[in-house]
Amino acid sequence: MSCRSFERRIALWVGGDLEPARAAAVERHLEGCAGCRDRAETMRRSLAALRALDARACEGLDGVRLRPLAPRVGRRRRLAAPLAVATAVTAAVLVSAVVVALLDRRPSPARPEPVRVARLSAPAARPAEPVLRRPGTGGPRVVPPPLPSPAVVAPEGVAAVAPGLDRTPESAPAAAQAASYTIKVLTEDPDIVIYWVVDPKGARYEPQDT
Amino acid sequence: MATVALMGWRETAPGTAAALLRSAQEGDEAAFAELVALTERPVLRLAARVLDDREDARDAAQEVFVRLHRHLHRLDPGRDPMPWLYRVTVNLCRTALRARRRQPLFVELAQETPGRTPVQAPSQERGLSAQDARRLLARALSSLSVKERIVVVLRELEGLDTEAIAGVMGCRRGTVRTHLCRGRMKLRRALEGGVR
Repeated sequence: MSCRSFERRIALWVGGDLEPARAAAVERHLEGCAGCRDRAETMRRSLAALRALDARACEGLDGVRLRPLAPRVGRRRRLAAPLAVATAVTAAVLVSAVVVALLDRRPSPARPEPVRVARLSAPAARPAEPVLRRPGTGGPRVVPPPLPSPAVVAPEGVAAVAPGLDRTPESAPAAAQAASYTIKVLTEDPDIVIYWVVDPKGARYEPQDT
Repeated sequence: MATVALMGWRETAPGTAAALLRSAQEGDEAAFAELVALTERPVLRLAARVLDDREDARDAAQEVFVRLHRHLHRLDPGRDPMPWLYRVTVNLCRTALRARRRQPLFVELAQETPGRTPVQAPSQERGLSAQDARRLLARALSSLSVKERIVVVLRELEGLDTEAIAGVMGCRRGTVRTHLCRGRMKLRRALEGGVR
């Protein structure tokens, strides 16, 4: 065998990892080969250097201790799933309760004021033909304006007002005063009709002839 | 699993470890803690030698004992748990080394040494600091493949025989010898200039 083929065996021989028969063959070769003896010695020294470096590098390593968590970690992992589920459910319930409470406290958006209805007192009895005549003459016949129904539903924020009828002050809010009304007066002459317009601020217009 | 005789596990008595394992399997947490205290040094040292990084080694060793607790009832109560611990340690280290290779492995060393730099002879290493020794050791081992590195560490530094290494690595003795032979030859070439 050549020296090259012995190189692999020498690498095992220096560590005592060859079977006795092969080890004996290597030893016989080394007795007669200076080059392989040198190679074997170099390999032995390199392994010694490796061990020496390792001994130096491992200084202080024995003082390093692991965290005593190993048994607890396993237990935690077993309990992790149920605990996580319980925590998630509790958190969901709490969040839902808070959200519901906040929504309940929030004012409803743009809720209209309740419609205020002016209760108007209608006259108890009404003459069948309320004809007014000028005294002493057969003056024009005055017909009062048609009365609204006793209960009038006013538009939002405005109370209905009817002329000549009593109304309670509290049933007429300020906005109601913005609505004007007109009194129509009929005369005996069908060509003459008198309109009496009442403005919201109480100013009166003069009757106008049409 | 092959029955292995761990030469490197000189500090712990296999009978004691097996008894502690049995107690831990019966629910004795104190016995488990004692088992960890008994075996953490060789596990940590092996991880540090293979990974050449104490923080990574500590993480790997921590994971080894987390797995021990997780798979406690799968272990044979009559057997020494040390081979199992070594195998898990080696597997975790191989995974870590593969991840490092993707990053790549020993970037610092590659930047430091464009060529081969011989390591000092054993007589000179006594004057080295521990940090320098770790750096030189890493440089010497960086020329080996992952399997060669693990086999050399288990054989030369942990003191396991080839049969035990085969049990830990999950391969045949011939494969172990092949890795060992190649690793030693590479080491000799890496250290050649400094040991003459």
